[in-house]
Amino acid sequence: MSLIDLVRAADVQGVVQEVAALTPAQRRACVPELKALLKELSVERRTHSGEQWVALAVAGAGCNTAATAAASWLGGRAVVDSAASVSPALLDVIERQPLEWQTTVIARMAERRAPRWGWSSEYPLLEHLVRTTGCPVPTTDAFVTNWFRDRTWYRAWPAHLAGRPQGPGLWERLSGDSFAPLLVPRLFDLADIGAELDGPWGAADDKERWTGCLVRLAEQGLVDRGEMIDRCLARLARGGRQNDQRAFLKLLAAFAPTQDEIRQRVRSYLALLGCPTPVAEHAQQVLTDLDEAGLLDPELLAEASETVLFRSEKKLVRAQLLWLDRAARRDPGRSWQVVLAAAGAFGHPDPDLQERALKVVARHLDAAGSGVLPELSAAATALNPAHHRRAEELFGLAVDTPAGPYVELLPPVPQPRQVPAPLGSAAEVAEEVSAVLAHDAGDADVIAFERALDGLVRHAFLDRAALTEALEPVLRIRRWSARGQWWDCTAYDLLYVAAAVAGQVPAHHLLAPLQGPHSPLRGRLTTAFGGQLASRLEEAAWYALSGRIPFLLATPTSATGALEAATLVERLAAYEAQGVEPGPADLSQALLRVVPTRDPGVLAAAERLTSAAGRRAARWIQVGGLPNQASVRAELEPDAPPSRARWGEYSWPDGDRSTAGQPGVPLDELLSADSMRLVRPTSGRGEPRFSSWSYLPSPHWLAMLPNHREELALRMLHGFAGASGMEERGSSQLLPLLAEADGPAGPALHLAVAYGLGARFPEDRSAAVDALLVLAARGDLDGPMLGRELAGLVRSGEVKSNRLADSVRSAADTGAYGTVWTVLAATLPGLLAEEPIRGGADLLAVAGDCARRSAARGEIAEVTAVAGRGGSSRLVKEAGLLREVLAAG
Amino acid sequence: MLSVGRSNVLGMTQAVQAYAYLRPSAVRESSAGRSLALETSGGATPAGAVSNPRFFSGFLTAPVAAAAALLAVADVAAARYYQPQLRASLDPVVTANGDRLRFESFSGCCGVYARLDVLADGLDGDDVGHGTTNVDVNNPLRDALTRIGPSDPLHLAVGPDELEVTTFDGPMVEKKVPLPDRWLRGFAETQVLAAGFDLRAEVPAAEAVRFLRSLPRGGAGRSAARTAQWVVPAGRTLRPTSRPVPGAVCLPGPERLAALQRVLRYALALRVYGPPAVQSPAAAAWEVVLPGMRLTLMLSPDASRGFSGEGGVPAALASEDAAADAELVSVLLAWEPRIDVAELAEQSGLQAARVRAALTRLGTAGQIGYDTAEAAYFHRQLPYDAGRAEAQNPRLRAAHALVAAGAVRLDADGGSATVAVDDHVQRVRVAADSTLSCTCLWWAKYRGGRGPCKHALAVSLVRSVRGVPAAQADPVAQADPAAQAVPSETEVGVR
Repeated sequence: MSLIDLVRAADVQGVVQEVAALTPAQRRACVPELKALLKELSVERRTHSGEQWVALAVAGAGCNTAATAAASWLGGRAVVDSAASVSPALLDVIERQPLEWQTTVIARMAERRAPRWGWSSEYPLLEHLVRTTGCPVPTTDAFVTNWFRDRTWYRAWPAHLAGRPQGPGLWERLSGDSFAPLLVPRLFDLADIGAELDGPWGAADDKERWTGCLVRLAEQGLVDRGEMIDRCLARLARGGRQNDQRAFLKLLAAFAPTQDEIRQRVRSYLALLGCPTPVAEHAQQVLTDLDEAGLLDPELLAEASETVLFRSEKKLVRAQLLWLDRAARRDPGRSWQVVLAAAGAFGHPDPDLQERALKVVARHLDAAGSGVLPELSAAATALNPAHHRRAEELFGLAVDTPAGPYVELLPPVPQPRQVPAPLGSAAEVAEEVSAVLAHDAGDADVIAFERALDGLVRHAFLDRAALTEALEPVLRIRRWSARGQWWDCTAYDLLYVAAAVAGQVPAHHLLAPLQGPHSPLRGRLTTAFGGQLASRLEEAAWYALSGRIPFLLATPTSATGALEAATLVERLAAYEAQGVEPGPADLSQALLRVVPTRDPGVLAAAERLTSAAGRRAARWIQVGGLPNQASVRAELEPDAPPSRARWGEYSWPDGDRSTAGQPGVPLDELLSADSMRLVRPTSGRGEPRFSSWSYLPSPHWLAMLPNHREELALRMLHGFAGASGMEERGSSQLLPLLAEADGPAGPALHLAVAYGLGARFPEDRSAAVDALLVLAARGDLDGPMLGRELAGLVRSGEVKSNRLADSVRSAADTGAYGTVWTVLAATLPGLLAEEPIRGGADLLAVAGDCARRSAARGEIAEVTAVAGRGGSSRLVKEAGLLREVLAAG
Repeated sequence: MLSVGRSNVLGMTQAVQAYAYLRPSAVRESSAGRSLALETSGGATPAGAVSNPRFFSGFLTAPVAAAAALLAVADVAAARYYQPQLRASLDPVVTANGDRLRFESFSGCCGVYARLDVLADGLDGDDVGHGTTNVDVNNPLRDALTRIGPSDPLHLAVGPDELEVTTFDGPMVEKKVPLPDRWLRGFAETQVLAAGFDLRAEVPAAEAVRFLRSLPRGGAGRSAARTAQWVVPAGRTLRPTSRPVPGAVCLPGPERLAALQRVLRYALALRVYGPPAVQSPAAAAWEVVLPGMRLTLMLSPDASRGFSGEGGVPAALASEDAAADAELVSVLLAWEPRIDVAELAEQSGLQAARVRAALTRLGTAGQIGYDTAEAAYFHRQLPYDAGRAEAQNPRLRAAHALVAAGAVRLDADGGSATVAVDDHVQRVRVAADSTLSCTCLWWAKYRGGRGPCKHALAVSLVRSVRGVPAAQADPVAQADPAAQAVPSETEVGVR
């Protein structure tokens, strides 16, 4: 049998004998055939026996006379995925190759990356070969990793591979291992070995773990102790994963460097002060001890303080101030250095620590002499204004404070983007439709969607055949089909209109909505907003197909969805000129969007409209459009039964609910049924909640009632509440858009912002902060109302105080101290009355900062009461500071 | 000593960058004080290619800050901010521009570009040379850099001195590192993108520290990498915001600014640069001003996506007439720290607009960098075979294939074109301002935010051959998503 046949027959021994019998040239000649076989076997892996793979691996190792090619072969799938590497036959074949060949193969194989976890199957073979050939021990990352894991876990080796030192414990294995002195120093270069460095997990005590064993290796002189410590320090300074840092810190502690050794490595320890907290804490402790023993250069204390006091961790900074204090007490001659170093904490984010630093400075100021005063008062500008008076007393110099009256900084009022001119060609419509469909359901831009919808109607009216041709590349990859009833209607359903234009929607689907409720765009999970959108799309599809209207009335003029009255009047006039009757859904939406105006020119133009629809629109514009509804605050009872509980819906979670209701308004003009549903009275329970996958509030919803943000806020309130109560992600992102919409800002909108300020996710909170600032910049914010709502929500547990503190802090930091103060001034009484809530100190701290900077005055009884309680809690202290500010001047 | 070869590892063809240094870079202590010796390998100089060039010998005026900043550059070179388990590390590149030294690196994930400019104020020594080369960075060097203290001066030598080179006979320090095409393309792309940036915000040191510390750190593989944040200047500080309001800068994958943490203590100010009027996640550059130095990090629009696909490059390459101009202009460059377009125009006899197009093209070939702080190009030649990556740009190759297959049919009026792909067609539309748009899904998703699609590229190739003016005179504007996607406020509403 030829070699190939032997491999196919899985005759491993036969292969070994055959390879031995062949000349090198004959072996080389077999390689292409073996490669072909490898490919063939790879296709149908599972149908071939493991022995066949072993035979193939052995044959390849024997026939690849070039060492590099052989190394590739041994690292390839034939060996790695089979049991070949532990087969005696493979070793047999390899050992018959020349020594030089073996050495090259070893070096190449040692460079192959180690598996991410677990054992390397070829490592035992590799170590065996290294030992038998006597070639230099590889020191690649992969080889060291594999060696390290092998010694840690000590998995059984096949009998024919030998040479590994034996022993039940790690120490026995390492102490007799000739590899150890060479490879141990390389351990410090490996990433992600922290967990295993703590092992082996089954070891009886620390002496049998790696840390203990490495110390013992150093004691026995097998590795150099100094080098170990150096490498450990360098590794810690280099950084890495927490796990690794912890393990190497433990190792450093195990080596327990003497004071002499530390003194020689003081610069390395200084470098550790900039490392992650546990490492820095260790280095700080070591250096403190060294200083107390009088072995640290005083200059280095200053350097260490500079590094540590710059850090934000309170514990480290406190310890450093303590160290400085002690150093100056021990040796008053160092006072000047100490006070200058301690001034480094004047800029610390925590005012408490600033105060501590100030105390340390005060204590040693006399001994330091007056020479340090100018430098100290310069540093004092970084202090929180609360400490300025104390600093001025101490340093006898005025601390520079920003001059002039307080100026509130609010972001510019955003100008909504204007909708550009209608799409000019069928090709443009195709592109825009494609762009809308390329987004997830709710993500498409409002302007893009509205222009594309208008474009479809417009160009279907002009030349439907041309539009159909232009849409072909888009509709080729987007087939329309009735989606069933498990989705809300979204911007993606623009596809329905596009497909209808191209004649791809069956007639019964087009007719169904006109005849009854069986629309392909609606189902039982359709929201009121989805219904409104569906009614427009159904109508647009039908009209586009029948070519009855030249363009849409409801296309907004701004990105918020608002439609200028003048534009609507112009469009209606154009309809009249062409003798076109508007679609009811289109007209309804246009009326909901029209911006109230008192411009006599526009009103006069409206009066000139003559058609029935034109008259309706004129009357609507005359009375100022849709009347605004006043919201009435309401609290839902805990455990109130959901209004409609069906599968797929869920109701409010148990507990108190702060919400609001609206009584509805009488309308002289009838709107379409779907539009009426949008503005109908509501008790505050809002829409029934659907499971989140069908519930996608989007900017398109806001664009349906752009001049009625209070109504919108109320109808979407459960979504905003979910951001804090149910820890949902994302719904708060609509808050800034809501704040930019028009109409009165009432209780529902303020409640929505209040929920957002307590949202679970930081990006949702920053959206709520955006909304707060936009409302303030537009002069629409009722600070006290928001403040009271916040107090109620925190009290009822719907908003967590730490999240609220974070939100108001970031709002204040932008320069809106006055705005935030008006809110917090109304929040604090509710939070501090009777039993103050947990976390009140943080809110008091923000309030104090805001009041100080915006020069707020006027006592708050609850704050005074808490401040007067006595005790040293932070709450009482912050209340005292605030009381002081409010009582000033 | 530099060579770029292709090695066959397990059947996969992959380019490999080989370095050969005389010895490892190190901090050496001697009686004369400490000296930071950065070793060089393979470089371009005005005198031609040199194996181990020397560019500087002198003192760093702010040694601790400089050591921290160098570490930050090395951090980026060794980092992958996306899929961090894969490892890749190419050595940083140093450019001597006559009056300053620039250290550049590019992360393994192709999403973060770092550059440290050590300006004349930061250097105290001999003249700075001219040229570009690689510098060795190794673990002992990093360890030594963390131990640099403020007390004594630090000598810096970039490259061995001549005597050492001539008498050297020991073994070289050799390294071989994979050099992916994607990495090279991304590196070049950063320069094209940066040229479209303006200063968006500048905050003083205290606010810079507060802001950078407030960013999420994000461990490996955390979802933080997926969130794009927006940042807007507010008073003296920067404020996170939930959306791209006017003046906002995108901060995609904020944990990728981690390298800046090293230099926070020495920061004098923080400057942010970004493209104008962005609406979707976009690249931005974050510059920390240090004593006598500037450290700039540039982030790609998404942590999971490198710079290579941003599409500024293919647009530049597709205009054929820029090729000849680029060749002409490249001869005139001599490692200037600031390239003066007007001066170049005069020397070359080309119009300023053509010089700018030529510079963009040179940027794509790695022959030029862009300094956002100076708002000017500088000359440097990446010590890689950048032309190869340029020629292998996948989108451009696909476009050439379409042209070769005769798939492009221009309409009679020149206002649109049809591109036949397999069994279907895509329509490419030429707008009044000569920008191209397409019906394909890729275009629908990004709308030019990542440059032209292959269909639009193919059409512009055909148009340029037929003598129709090139579609994009300024490829940078083409790469700017705002230019197409955002209607300007002056446009009229729907009537």
